[in-house]
Order: sequence, then structure tokens, then C-alpha cells
Amino acid sequence: MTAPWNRTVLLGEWRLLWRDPAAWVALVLLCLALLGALAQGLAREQALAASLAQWADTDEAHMEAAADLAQRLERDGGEISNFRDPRNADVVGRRLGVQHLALPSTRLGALAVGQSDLHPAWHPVSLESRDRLLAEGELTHPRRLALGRFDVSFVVVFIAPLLLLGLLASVPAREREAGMLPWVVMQSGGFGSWLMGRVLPRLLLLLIPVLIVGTLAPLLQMSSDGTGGEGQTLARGLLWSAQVTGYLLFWAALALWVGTLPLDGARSALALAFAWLLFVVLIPSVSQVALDLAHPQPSRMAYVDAMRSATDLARAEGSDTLARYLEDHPELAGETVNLEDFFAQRLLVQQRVEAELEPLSAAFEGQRAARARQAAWMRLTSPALLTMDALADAAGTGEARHRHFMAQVHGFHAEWRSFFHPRVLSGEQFFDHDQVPGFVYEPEPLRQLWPRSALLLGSTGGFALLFAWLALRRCRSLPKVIGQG
Amino acid sequence: MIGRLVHKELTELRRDGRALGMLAILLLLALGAGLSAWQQARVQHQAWHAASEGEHARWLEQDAKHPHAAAHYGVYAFRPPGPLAAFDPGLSPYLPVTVWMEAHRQNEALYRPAQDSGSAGGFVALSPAVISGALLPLLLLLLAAPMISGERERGTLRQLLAQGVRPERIVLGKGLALGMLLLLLLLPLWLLVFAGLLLGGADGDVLLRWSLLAVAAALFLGGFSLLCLLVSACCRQSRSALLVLLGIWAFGTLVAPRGVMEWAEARHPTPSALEFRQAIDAGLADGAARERRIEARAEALLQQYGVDDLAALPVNFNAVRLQEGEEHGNRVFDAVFGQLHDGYLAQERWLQGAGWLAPFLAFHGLSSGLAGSDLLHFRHFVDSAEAHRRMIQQLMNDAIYQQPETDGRRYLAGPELWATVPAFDYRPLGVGDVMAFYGMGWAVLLAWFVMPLLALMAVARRLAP
Repeated sequence: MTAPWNRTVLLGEWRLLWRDPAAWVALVLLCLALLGALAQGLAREQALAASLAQWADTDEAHMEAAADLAQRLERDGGEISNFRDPRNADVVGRRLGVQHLALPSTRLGALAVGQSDLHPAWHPVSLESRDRLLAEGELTHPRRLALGRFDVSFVVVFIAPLLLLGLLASVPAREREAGMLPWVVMQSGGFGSWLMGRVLPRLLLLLIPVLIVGTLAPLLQMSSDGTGGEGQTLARGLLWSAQVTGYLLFWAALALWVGTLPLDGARSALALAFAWLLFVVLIPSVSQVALDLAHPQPSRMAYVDAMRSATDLARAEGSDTLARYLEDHPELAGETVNLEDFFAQRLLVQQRVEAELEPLSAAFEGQRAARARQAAWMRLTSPALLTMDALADAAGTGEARHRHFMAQVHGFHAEWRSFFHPRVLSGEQFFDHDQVPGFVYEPEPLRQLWPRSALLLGSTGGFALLFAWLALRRCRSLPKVIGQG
Repeated sequence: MIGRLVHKELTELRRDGRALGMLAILLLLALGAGLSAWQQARVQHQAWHAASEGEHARWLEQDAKHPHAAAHYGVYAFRPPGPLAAFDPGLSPYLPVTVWMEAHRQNEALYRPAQDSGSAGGFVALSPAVISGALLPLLLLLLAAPMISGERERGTLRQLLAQGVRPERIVLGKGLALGMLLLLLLLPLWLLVFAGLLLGGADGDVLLRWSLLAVAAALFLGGFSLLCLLVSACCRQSRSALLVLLGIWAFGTLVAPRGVMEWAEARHPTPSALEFRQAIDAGLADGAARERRIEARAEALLQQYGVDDLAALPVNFNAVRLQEGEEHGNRVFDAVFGQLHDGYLAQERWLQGAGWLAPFLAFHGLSSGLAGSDLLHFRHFVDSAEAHRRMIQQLMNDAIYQQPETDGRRYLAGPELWATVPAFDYRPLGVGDVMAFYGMGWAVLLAWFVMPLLALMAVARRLAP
């Protein structure tokens, strides 16, 4: 095989593709799907950014209104319910000053919905328990969640391979059926290079529009800044592009391998269609069933049941709990603390409930984590699963970035409580509205993203290499291949 | 003649190792998915039973306290799995499992199981219903695509027609063979489950649901078989027929449902969480009408009892204030929750209508509706829980009303009051309501069956060799 011959084959194939209506149909379908998905993604990101800004404005306005009212009540006097009094630290920390912490999108957010439909991009933080806060979320039609989104990831993982396989299904079956294969191969520098010459232009025809859309998305999505700068955007964009390339290379290698098998056109098309079904539909579905059988999901009903029992126990001992707490923290047992103080009691009962629930929470989280670990292994069974995860991860809508955000939410929750708890327990009037902690999102460092992405990309590449190697092996036994044809 | 044609087709199908292999794989998948769905439904049912009983016991075992404190203690309502959730979990993984029913507020339902799933989203979740609606059509298309086009390719169609066999009979024979294969595959499974339901003590409603599911599956799969034969009759090569059918399947099962959902959301927009909560807060804050009603009630009671001070009333006026607050809140919740749920159900109806584009959507909607794991059942659950919450508030406020607090003594109720509140005993919707909601879905499935049938009859008459 010589380089000039490759060039000739490639140019010839480009010319053939140019005149092939099937190639145009595939290209137009892909572009339409990509543009539709990108437009949806950009609109979704715009709506999300607007919603996050609205939450932030609302939180700020609530805190300012609470501070103003507290000053006014102090200055002018007036009647107000204890449960609405902005001079009460518990009321501010629990209701009036609730903060909605935002996970800003990356500049690639429009490319993949990932897990962002299920895990909202904001979380409220107040004095309420962590469980109660985490239960809140965005309102989404459950069927929307069940069906999934028509995003660029969906187009890449489901539609692009179908179109690619449609273009490659007749390679080299058409020549074999026409009896031209021996002639074609004799003219060329080898069966493998001839096959590559046929596959590569078709792969590029579909890969290039996908990569263009991947480049366009961050340029069009100007509203987000959750990546931590241009460097991260570039790195995420590169990872996204590399994963897309690896995934489509896998399908091309698979088609190459099927092309070397002694199959006629119909059987070759059938084999490719079955491969698509296997990797995109069957394996992901079956792996989910296997996961459910091996690691059943922990039950939230059982959790709520246990939580209620623990709450009853702690409530029944409410006064004792407060007394014990004050024994441990005598500095707080000033004259203002009243054993019958509702707010102090509620706070301590809540802490007691959380302490009681800790083993249950740990078991629940352990079960979830074991399931997630198993699910991570299950991804290795299909490049489609790997790619769906990798694209979401690169776009910043995957599980890992959300976990990173949730760690910050928990940290801020602790900070919020440590600010308010002493003030609630002291029972003194609260005027520190301007001193409440503020949240600043810390973007996920690249050093955490690289290893995850490398694993996903490497595994997809492994699949591509496996089929490329199988195809090459078949190509080496050229006389046999042609003979069978 | 028809009998011979059917026998020939069935013999060919039996001899085709690929067909049998795929059938075996599908059955294994159905077994695995059924087992997994059954296990999940069983675990959910146990958890639901334990949690519901525990919750009611906790309510009954409350200490002596003011009824309003008990109203704030509240009760959790837990959503039971649908009656046929093991066949079709439907939207269950994405529907919250519990609602906290407390004083003053209708809370949003909490905890979607999918949030704790930890697995990748975006792929087809396997269940017996998905196998029937998505994978079985695949097997059908693989079997049916070459049925007529293959005969044409091999030249045997010309031979058959030359022998004087009427083309309609050839097509009918192939259709019957396909139908018999489906029947042989599905009828034993259906009967097995039916017997299981009977032995398990299922009531008439559940058995009717299961029977209607069979009708829906027959219409959907029958329609798909007819479409496969139609495409096969129109294509000159079996490969073309296969690719066309695969395209139709991929579009109808994977692409169209997502696209149609985006369309439904644009057509019937629903509020965001922020808008929803702001609407509730604004509604609750606007209490002028409530205050006017409270004043009117106060005047009426003062007149009725001939006193001029609320403290002198032989009833507790605080209960009137509380109940008026509840009534005011109820109007706000009815409007805001109603708008949200009506929007969702309008989207669902839109999706059913779009079943013309993707019959999988129509079948999937009907199947989850009959299995009791759809949005309609969820709304019914939420409404039932809300009715129960209001009943608790009314009972607690009535008890307060009867106990005027004189001499600074606060009324403390005991077990006799707690016992007046029945356990939250949720009964799923009747099958009649489900049928009424899914009228469009049925129409789509019927049309999905009749239209390919008519087209096939027309094509069969002019079948070219």
C-alpha cells in the first residue's frame, strides 16, 4: 500500500460519495437532527440560566426584605407572629433566608442533558435536614424523564451509528455480489487499504458535522460560566470530540469487520443492524435488568418510615435533649435559654433525629454507592453506554460533576448551620442578616475529570481497536475472503 | 389452500434457526425483565405496606396534644405500586413515592426512585411491556420483511402466481402464519399470568385490565405485522424491506417519542419549580377574602350566641380561623396544583394523539395506564392524599371548635380523637376512568391496525411477481 494510491482511492471515493444520493440523505438527516438537538439544548440552557438567576435574585430580595423588616420592627415596634419574625434566627435560617445554591452549566451543557434532568441544577439550603432539602427539585413531567431528551448526545449515540452503518452496509458486499472484488483488489495496494479507502470518507462525512456542532455549542452558549475558564471549556470540548470520534471509529471498525465476513449484501446489512441493536438497545437494557437483580434499589419508603420513628423518639424526649445539649455546651446556657423554647427544642430534636438516622442514611448511601459502582462496571459492556456517560461527563451534566457540586452543597449546609445554631439556641434577637454565609461554586478541577474521561475514552477505543484488529486479521487472509465472495 | 400456505410458512419459520434463536433470546429477556420487575414490585409493595401501617400506628399512638399540633405532625401517604406494575413499571421510577400531609399546606410529592438508581439514563428500560412494545416488533420485522419480498427475489412468487394461486391468498396465508406465531408465543404467557392473578386473589378490575392489555397488544402487534407484510409486498428486495422497516421501527420507537415530547411541552407549557412556588406563596399571602370571611363568621357566631366578645363564645373561635385558613389554602392549592397536573395530563393527551406518528407511544401510554403506573394514577393518588389531608384538618379543627379554651387552659386531645382519622387507604382508579382517559390511544391503535390492513388488501390484489 502506498500513500499516492491511498490518495487516489480517497479522492475517488469522495467523488463517488458526492454523487451518491444515500450519502446526501444521511448527511441531511444527521445535520437536521444535530441542529434540532442543538437548538433544543441552547434553549434549555438559556431557560436554566434564567431560572438560576431568578432563584438568586429571589433569595437576595427575601434576605433584604427580612433585614428591612427586622430593622423596622425594632425601630417602630409592631405585632408579628413568632414564626414570621425576621428577628428570630430560626425563622431566618429556616424560611426567610433560604439560599438556592446553583450549579452553573459548562459551556458544553447544550450538548448533553445527562443526569441534569433527574438531579436539579439548584439545591435549597436552610436549617432543615439534609434529607428534606435534597427531596426538593425541579418540576419535570415524569414521561419526559422516562423518554429522555432529544439532545446532541442522543443523536450521536443512537442516530449517527445507524446512518454510518447504512452507508457502510454495502461495503464491500456490492463489489462481492457483482463479482468485482478480485478485480478491485488486484488493482489496489491490498484489500485492507481498499476497504479503508471506502470506509474513511463515509466516516468523515458524518463525523465532521458532529464535530462542528460540538465546536459551535460552546461558542453559542455564552451565558454559562461553570467550567472555571476557557482552559476548561477547551479541555471539555477536546474530550467531547475525542469521545465522539472514538465512538464513530468503533462503528466504522465494526462495519469494516462485518465487511470482511463472507456475507451477501442482505446478510451484511442484517448483521450490522443487529450489532446496532445489540450495543445500543439490548446490552444497555439488559445491564439495567442485571443491575436491578444484583443490587436492588434501596427503598425510600422504608427510609421515610424509619425517619418518622426516629423523629417520634426524639420529640418525645425533646426537653431532655435540650437539657443534655446545654450540659455539653454550658456557654450557651445563658439566661436567655428556656427549656420550653420551641425553636431551640425543634433544632435539637432535629439534630437528634439526624443522629438517629445516621446509620440508616449510611446504609442507604452505601447501597446506592454499591449500585453506582456496579453500574460503572456495566458501562464497559457497550460503547454506547460508555459514550453516553462520557459525553455527559465532558458536557458537565454527568453524575460526577453533580456529586462534586453536592459535596459543596453539604459543606455549605454545615457552614449555614454552624452560623445559625448558636444564634437559635441563644434565643437572642437576630440582626446579622448581612453576615449570613454566601455560596460560591468551585468548578470541578480538571485533574478529577481527566482520569474518568481517559477510562471511558480508553474503553471505547478498546472496542474500536478490537474490531479493527479483527478486520485486519480477516484482511490478511485475502485470498480466502475473495474466494468465499 | 390457505391451510397449506400457512403450514408452509410455519414450517419455514420453524426451520429458520435465526428465528428460533431470536425467539429464545426474546423469551429469556422477557423472563429476566419480568423477574426483575416482579421483584421490584414485590419489594415496593412490602415497603409500602410496612410504611403505611407504621404511619397509621404512629398517628394512633400520639401522646395527648392539641389537635392542631397533631395536624402539624401530619401523616405520610405512600404510593402503592400499580396493580400490574410487574408487567409495566411505566413511569413509576420517575414518580415520587410519598406525600407529607400536614396542616396549612399541600406539599409536593417527594422522592423519585430514579434519583437513587445510580444508573445511566437515556436508554430503553427493559420490562415485559417494553419487550412487547419495542423488541417483539423487531423480531416481527426480521421475520416478516423477507416473507413476500424474499419470494419475489427467489422467483417463487412468480411460480405461485403462475400456478393460479390468488395473490390475496398468498398474503393472507403469510399474515395468518405470522398471527399464529404471535399467538403461540404470547397466549401461553398471557394465560400463565392470568392464572397467577386469579390464584393470587386479583379482583375483577385487575383481570379486566390484564385482558384489555392483551387487546391493546394484539392491536399494536397485529398492526405492526400487517405493516411489515405491506412493506415486504411493496419492496423488490428483502434487504430493502428490512432497512425500511428498521428505519420505521427506530423512528417510531426511539426518535419520535423524544421529539413528540418536546413538542407536547412546547404546546402545553407547565410552570417551573420557582414559578410554581411563587404562585402558591402569592396565593396564600393574598388573605383579604379570608379575613372578610372570618369577620363574617365572627359576627354570625356573636349574634347566634348573643354575646359581644369572641372569648365569651361557647365554642373555640380559633378553630374557625384555622379552618378558614385551610379553605383559603385549599382554593390556592386547587388552582396551582390543578394547573400543573392539568398541564401534564394535556401533554399526555397530546402524546396519545401523536401516536399516529409513533404508535409505540400510544401502546406505551395505554399499557402504563392499564398497569396503573402512569401519570393519571399518580394524579389520582395525589388528589386522594390531598382529600385525606383536608379530612384530617377538618376533623382536628372540628374538635378544637367544640372545646372553648377558658381560664387559660389549653385543650389536649387523646387517642379517642386520633382514632377518628381512618388510615389512608388508597384505591387505584377504576378501569372505566382509565379507558375514558385513553380514548385517543385506543383510536390510534385501532387505526394502526385497520390502515395497514386496508393498504395490504389493496396491494395484495395487485401483487407483482
